[in-house]
Parts: sequence; structure tokens; C-alpha cells
Amino acid sequence: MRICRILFHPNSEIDVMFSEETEQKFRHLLSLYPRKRSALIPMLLIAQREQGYIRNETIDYVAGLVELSPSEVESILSFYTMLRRDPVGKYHIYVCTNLACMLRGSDRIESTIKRKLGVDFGKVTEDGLFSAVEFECLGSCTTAPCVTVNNEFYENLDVKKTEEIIDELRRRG
Amino acid sequence: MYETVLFKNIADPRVRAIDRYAELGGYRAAEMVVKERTPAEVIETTKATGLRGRGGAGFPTGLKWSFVPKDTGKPTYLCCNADESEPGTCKDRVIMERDPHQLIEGIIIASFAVDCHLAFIYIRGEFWYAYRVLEKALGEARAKGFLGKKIFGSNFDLDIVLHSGAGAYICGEETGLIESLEGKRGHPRQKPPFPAVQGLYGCPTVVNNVETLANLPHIFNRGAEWFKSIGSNPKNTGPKLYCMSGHLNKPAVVERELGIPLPELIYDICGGIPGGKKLKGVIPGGSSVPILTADEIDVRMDFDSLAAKGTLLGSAGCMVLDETVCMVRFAMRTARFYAEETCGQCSQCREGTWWMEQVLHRIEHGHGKMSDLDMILDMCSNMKGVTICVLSDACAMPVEAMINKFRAEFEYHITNKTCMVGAHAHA
Repeated sequence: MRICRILFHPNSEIDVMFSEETEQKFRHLLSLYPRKRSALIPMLLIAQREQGYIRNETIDYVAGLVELSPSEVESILSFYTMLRRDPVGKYHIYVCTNLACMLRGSDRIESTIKRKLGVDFGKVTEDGLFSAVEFECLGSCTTAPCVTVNNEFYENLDVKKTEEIIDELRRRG
Repeated sequence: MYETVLFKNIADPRVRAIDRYAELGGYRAAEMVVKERTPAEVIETTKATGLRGRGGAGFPTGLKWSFVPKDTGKPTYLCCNADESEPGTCKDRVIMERDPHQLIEGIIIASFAVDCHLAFIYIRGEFWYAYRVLEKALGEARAKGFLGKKIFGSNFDLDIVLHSGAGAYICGEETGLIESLEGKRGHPRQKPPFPAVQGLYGCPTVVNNVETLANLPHIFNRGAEWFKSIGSNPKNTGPKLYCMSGHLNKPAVVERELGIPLPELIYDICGGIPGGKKLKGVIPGGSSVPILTADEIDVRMDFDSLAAKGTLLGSAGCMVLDETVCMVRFAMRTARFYAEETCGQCSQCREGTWWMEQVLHRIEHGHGKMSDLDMILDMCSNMKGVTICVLSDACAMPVEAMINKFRAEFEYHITNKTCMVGAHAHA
């Protein structure tokens, strides 16, 4: 459907449903900066928080708000690792494998998570609950190894603690 | 006995609230500066302290401010660089999560110095918790009249926008940060013009690191002479946060004077190396800086002492490696990070980092040739000083040092198709 999207006029009415709270955050962000497009990345992050990933319709809609073309928005968002174009699990895990975590045994954390999830990095578990990706340094080096789950930090991990975290999240559902 | 400055209040969870922060003497320096000083005086005092930027380059902060042209008719912007992403570094996060008002107060002082009325905190997207802490703290400061119109009842207006990045190491480079803040891909800009002249939206812009700004309230409470009395020499002054990670009994973010001897940090403060293992090397300033071997660690942790040893203080992300670390794997992981994070503008960096990782990967997996080592060193020399920003150098410098200082280990790997140290880099 990529070709269709550029046919949309940036300001045309597109039926995108964000919660009123998110719409309000969009309006607030657009008022903050001297130039509208500065609000683009924060807006995409907020949209992603609500919808799990960046949809085609979101790109069209946000592009209209910041007065850019959808292809420009797509080009910009593709630069940023945290912005994603595909659905992820309800609990999306970043596993730090960078140097400080590697020194403290992130290999074992990585294999534990793959084993507990039963899917490889980048895939979503069948129940839709989990997905995990390898991530560059998360800034938790003195409390390594670490992972984040939906951007909440879990630090000073070992195999047992990692298993417990996954079990706990699975229970929570 | 070292008296903590930046971390003085971090053990107190209540200090995140503005009332508690103010009760402990907070915002007095900012109020005094805004009401009683001129911007020129603030710049002069900061110059006199010798404060150097804590983000990595160590550029004198007061001097950086003095480059901002006056009367251009354009607004001046201040960006607080909170995109802490250098592997091994986690100090700014502690300030933001535990003592956010210290940073906000610092931003007020710096903004006053450069006549900025709209400042930005560019915080990396992964720091979602720190983002929420700062968001709340900024709201409190606005409610108290410490931000907004006529702050502290003076004639100075200032607001601060908290801006989240979305996962790109290169946005910690100041012009990459500016591009990203403008809503673009974080491609660093060719310099000159420097941001002080032409930065955000084409206007004069100052970019300062979180830790740098957090020093300012203390400087204006206690004076330049006090600040200069801390540190190893007149060119390396003030308190410093060291991120002590890797093979240590007590890894921690530690505050001590700039220029503390490295062995003191490793053995006295962080409890030495676990399991009675031997020290192999230390990366003193984040993944971008050349490694020191165990024989070279008798050095002070300041900008000039480390430069004299052929390495850098960088962001003081100090990683300690014990004898079990395979240097080939460590070098490969280092190169992989830069290959992952290059913005792709300059061919030397885009291709160089990728090939560096590929060649180290094949050595690590037993397919290397002896000529690979000199080829990597040749690549390193072609990657330094030839690109728009220093990401390319930041990949070449550490890998070059690892090969030069641990060459026997790389050669062993090539000949025997296995690790010299036996195991992978496990704790």
C-alpha cells in the first residue's frame, strides 16, 4: 500500500484514531517548538506507545501535522532504532549486549531470554506477549547486565533473575 | 577525605521534590545569578573555574559560551546533551533520575550566561524513567516561577523543553543532536560554522553535557576559587563522575576530584577485581578511547594525564577487564557498535566500520589471515581525521590500540583458530 499513501494530501482528512489524551499531547508538542517538525520524533514515540508500532496511517497523519511529506517522515523515522514499523509483543525487551554488559555475562542473559521466549530475537511469541531484540548500550553499565522491558530497567541480572522476570510478566499476562 | 558535590544529595529520595531541593540550598545560586550578575560576569567566573566539558571533549565551558555572538538579532538556544549513549557511560542518568533540580538550576545559570530564553534537554529515548522524573521536576519549577516569564521575579524569561530522542548514538554528537532536534535524521554537520554561531534553526546555540551543567549551581554558591581547589592541576579542576564498570567487586558511579589516580578508583573505591583474577586492561573513558594495559594504569584520571598516555578521559566510562577477556572478541564487539551506529554520511566511516567488524568477525571465528591485522591497522589510519564527525575515529582508535597492545593474542587466534584465554568474556 506504499504507493497509495503518497496520494494522500498531507492535510486531507484521514481516519486515524488516537485517544484524546494522545491528540492533546500532539497539540501540546506542536506548540512547544519554534518549528513544527521538531515535534516529529516525540510525536512518533507517543503514537508508538499507544499503537505498539508506527502504522502507515500514522505516518500520513503525523506528516500532515508537521507539514512534511509521508516519505520524508518515513525516511526520518527509519534512522531511529526505537521507532519500529512492525508490531511487537506486549512486553518488548531490549537486551543490552554491549561491552560493559558483555563483560558481566550478557551472553547468558541473551540465551536465557531466547530459551524462555522460545523465539529468536525480532520475533513475537505466539501468544503475542513477548518480543526481544538485541540493543546497544542502554546506559546501565555499573549495574550490568541489564535489559529493559517497555523501557523499564531491570539491572544486575543473572540467569535466575532473568527467568523470574519472564515468568512474572507471563503471569501478569 | 573527599567531600561529595554533585552526588551530595542523591541518597535522599525526597530531593527530587523541589521543596526538599530548595530546603537544602537549591535554586539560591540561580536566583542570585539572575538577579545580581550580568551574563558577562557569569561567563568570566565560569572561565576562571577552569571547568571543562564533561561530555567527552573536555572543552572549557566558559570559553564555549564566550563564542556566542551578541546582537545577531537571532535568539540563542541552549541544548543540554542528555543523550548519554557512549558504551560504559551512565553518570548523567544518575543525576537526572536522582537530583533533577540540580540540572535544571544549572540550565538556568547557563541560559542566563548566553542570553537564552528557550533551552532544550535532549534526552535519549531509552531513559524513560529519567524523562518522567525530569518532566515532573520541570513542572514544579514552572509552578514556583523558577521557569517561565520573569523567573525569580527578575526580568529574565526562560523555559525548558524536554525532548526525547529515539535511539541513535550519533545524536550525542552536538551537531547530530541539533539536526535531530530539528526533526531530521541525526546527521552531523560539517564544521565550521560551529553551533555557537550557526546551530539550532540557524541560530547561535550552545550544547552542554548534563554533568557540566550540574556543576554550575555549586560554582555560584561557593566561588571559582573553591572549584579550582578541587582537582589534580589548574587545567583539570572540579568534581568528576566516574562510571566504574566491568570486572570489579563494587562497580558504581563514583564521584571524586578530577584527576584521581586510576588504581585508587579500581582497588580502593571499587574493591578490585573479583575472584583474585589479574587485571588485563582498562578502557578509561568509554568505548571510543584506546585501552590501557595493566602496566599502564598508574595514571591520573584527568584530561591531560590520560592524553599523555595516548588515551582520553572521554566521558569517564571506565571499563575494567580481567585476564579472562578475549581481546579479539572485545575488539569485534567494539567495531560492531560503531558499524551499527554510523550515520552513513561519510564513506570512510560507513564502509570502514563495517569492514572492520567483518574482518574481526572472521578472525574471532577462526577464518582470519595474518595479513588481516596489518590491513585493519591500515584501515584505522584511513579512518582518522577524515570525516565530518569523530565517530569514525572513535571506532579506529580503540581497535588500533587493542591490536597494537595485544597483537600476540590476535596472532594466536589466527594461527590456532581459538582463544588464547580459553573462555569467552564472562564474569
